[in-house]
Amino acid sequence: MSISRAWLPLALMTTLIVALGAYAAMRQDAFLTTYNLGNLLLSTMPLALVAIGQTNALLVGGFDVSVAALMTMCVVVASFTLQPDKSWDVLLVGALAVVGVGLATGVFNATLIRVLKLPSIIATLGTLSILEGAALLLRDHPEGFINPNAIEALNAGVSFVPYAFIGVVVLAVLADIWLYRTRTGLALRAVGLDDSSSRRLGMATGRTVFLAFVICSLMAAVAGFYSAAQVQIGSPIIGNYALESIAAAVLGGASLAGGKGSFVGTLLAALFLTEISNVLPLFQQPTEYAQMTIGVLILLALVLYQAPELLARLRTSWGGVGRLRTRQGEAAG
Amino acid sequence: MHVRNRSASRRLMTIGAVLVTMLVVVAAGQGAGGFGETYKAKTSTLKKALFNAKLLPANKMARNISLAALGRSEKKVNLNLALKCWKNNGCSTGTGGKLKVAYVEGFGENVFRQMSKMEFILQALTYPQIGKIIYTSAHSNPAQALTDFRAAISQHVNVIVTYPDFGDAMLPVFKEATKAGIPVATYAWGYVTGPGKNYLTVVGEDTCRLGKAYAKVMNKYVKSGNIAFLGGFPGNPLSLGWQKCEKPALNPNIHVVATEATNWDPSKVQEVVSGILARYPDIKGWSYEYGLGMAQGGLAAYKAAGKPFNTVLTLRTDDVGMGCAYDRLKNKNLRVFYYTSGNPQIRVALTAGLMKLKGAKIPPQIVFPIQLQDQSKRDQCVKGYPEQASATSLIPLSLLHKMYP
Repeated sequence: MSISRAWLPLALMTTLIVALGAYAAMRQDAFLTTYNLGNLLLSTMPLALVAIGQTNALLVGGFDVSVAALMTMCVVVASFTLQPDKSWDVLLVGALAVVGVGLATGVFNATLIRVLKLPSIIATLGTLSILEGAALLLRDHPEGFINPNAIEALNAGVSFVPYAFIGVVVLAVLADIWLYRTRTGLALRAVGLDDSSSRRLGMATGRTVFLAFVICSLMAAVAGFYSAAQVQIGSPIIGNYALESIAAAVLGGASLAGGKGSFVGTLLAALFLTEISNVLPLFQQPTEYAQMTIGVLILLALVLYQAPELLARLRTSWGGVGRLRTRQGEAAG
Repeated sequence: MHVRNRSASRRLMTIGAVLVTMLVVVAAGQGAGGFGETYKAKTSTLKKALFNAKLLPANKMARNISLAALGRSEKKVNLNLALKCWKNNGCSTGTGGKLKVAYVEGFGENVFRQMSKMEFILQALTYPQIGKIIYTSAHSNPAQALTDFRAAISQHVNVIVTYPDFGDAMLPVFKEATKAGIPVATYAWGYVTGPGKNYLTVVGEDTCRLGKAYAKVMNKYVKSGNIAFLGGFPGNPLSLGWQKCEKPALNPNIHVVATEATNWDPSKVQEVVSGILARYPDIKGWSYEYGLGMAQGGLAAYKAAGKPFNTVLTLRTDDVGMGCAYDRLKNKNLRVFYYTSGNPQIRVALTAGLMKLKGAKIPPQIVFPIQLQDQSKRDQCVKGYPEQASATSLIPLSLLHKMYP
C-alpha cells in the first residue's frame, strides 16, 4: 500500500471535520460555544472508544456486533456497582466489575469464534441478543443513579476539552505506532490479510484473533463508562453503536476484508460522525440526514480507499468478457 | 354654604364611584387572567378536549394554566403556516418575536406524536412574541435525544416542551436546561424524577389512576382469567405509571401473563400480540395506551391466528380509526374502553413554560382527572375525521384533512 493511500482516510476525515465545523461556525453561533464544543467531544467518547475496539476486530477480518449491547450492559452494571454515596475504594471495585463484564464477554466471543469456529458476525449476534435480554432483566426501565463523583471525574477537563478525549487521542496515536512499527502489530495485520499463510509462517493466528476480540469487548466496556456518564442512570437502552462503530472504523480506513486499518483514522471518523449528529439539530435538520450521510460516506469511502483493487477487478472482469467474445466469434466463424 | 356642601358631597361620591369601578376592574382582571394569559375557555372547547368540561385539574393555578392554554386554541392562526411548519419540522413565525420555543422528543414517528407536534405549533402561533419554532425527533436513539436536547440549550431557546421517551435517562439534560434558565415542561405524563426542581412541570393525567380505572374495567368485564399489558418503549414513564397501579388493583382471579414493550409501533404490536396469543390462546383482555396501534396490529394478529376478536381492551388514546375499525367488526363480544389521546396537553405544557417566563409560579404537576369512555356508548368513530386522527384533538378539522389527506 502506497503512503498516499495510507494517509487518504486521515486526510479525508480531517478535511470533512474542518469543513463541516467551519460551515456550522459561520452559520450558527451556538456551534462554537464552549458548552456545545464540550458536549461534542464528550459525545464522541463512547463512539470513539468502541470504534477503536471494533477496528481490532476488523483488522483480523471479523466483526463484533455485540458491542452495542455490551455497552448497555456495562451501563446497567454500573448502576449497581457505582451507586451514589459510595467511597472511592468501593467505586474502584465497581469499575473493575464493569471491566470484568467486558473481559468475560470478549473471552466468550473469542471462544465462539476461534474454538467453535463460528463466523464472527453470527457469534456476536448471538451475544448481542443475550446481553440485550440480560440488560432488560436487570433494569426494565431507567433506574439506579450512577455516582455523581464518578461522572464528574469522567467528564473532567481543561476548558471545553475533556481529559478523557486527550487520553483517547494519545491512545489512538500509540496504537497506530504499535500497529505499523512493531512485530506484533505486523502479525495482527498479517493474520487479517491472510490467516492461512500467517499460520504456515508460524504465527500464533488463533491467539491473535482471540486477543483482538477480547480487546474489542474491553474497549466497549470502557466506552460503557462514557455512556453511563451521559445518561447517568442504569438505562437498558442507550443507542445502537454497533453499526456506527463499524462505520467509523471503515471511514477511518479499515478494510472489511481485514489486514488494514488505522486507530487515528477511526478516532477522526468517530469525531466526524458525532459532529454530524451535533450540527444537524442546530440547523433544525432532521437526523435522518445523518443516517443517510453515514451510508453514502461508507460507500464512497469503500470506493475511494479501495479504488486500485476495484479497478483491477473491473479490468479482470472486462478481460474475461473480451476473451469470451473472442471465443464466441471464433466458434461462429 | 349649603350649595358648597352639596358640591363637596357630589365630588366625594364621584371619587368613591371611580375608586369602586377601579377596584372592580382590577378584581375582574385578576380573576380573568394574568401573566399575559386569560384563564378562560369555551365549554365546547373543554368538552371536545376532555369529554367533560369539569375534568380540569383540581389545583387552582394548574386549572388556570389549563384554561388559558385550551382557550388559546380558539384563537385564529395562520393554518397554512402551521402546516408548513409541521412539514418542515419547525419554522420562523414571521412575527419578528424574540422568543424561541422547542419541542424535543426521543421518538416522533407515529400519528399521536405528529398530532402533538401540530398542537404545539398551533399553540406557539397564538403568541406573537414567539419568532421561532424548533422541532426535533431522535428517532428512538437515546444518545441522539440527549444531543438534540443539548442543541436546543446551546441555541438558548426560551422554553423546551418534551416527552421523555427514555425516562430518567433524560434527567441530566433536564437539569442542564433548568440550570441555564430554560423552563422544561413535559406532557402526556412524561414523568421524570423531580418535577418543580429538576424541571418546571409535568402535564398529564395521573397514570396511576389510569391504571386503577383500567383494573376496574377488567374486574367488571373479565372477572377471571388471563390478561396482558402492552407498553411503549421499555421504561417509558407513561406505561410504567399505569402498569404498576393496575396490577395490584385487579381481582385475584385475573392474572397478568405478559408485559411487553411495543415501541408504540403497530407492526411490533402485531408481532407481540401474536406471540402472546400463541402462548395464551385463552387471553381475555389487553391493557395498553395506543388505541390505533392495537386496532391495526392487534386485530391483524387475531385474524392471523384465526380467532375472533372477543376481548376487553382498556386503552389510553381515542383515535377515530380505532373506533371505526371496531364498528366495522360489529362484534358485541369486543368491549373497548378508552381515555383521551391528550394531544392538547402539549398546549398546556407550552403555556406553562411561557407563563413561567413572565414570573408565574407553576405547580410541579398539572394533573387532569381520569374518566374512561365506553366505545359502545360513546363511539369514537367520529364522522368527517381522518381515521388516523383523534377527535379530542384541538387541531381544526380542515387542517387535519390537510395533514392526513
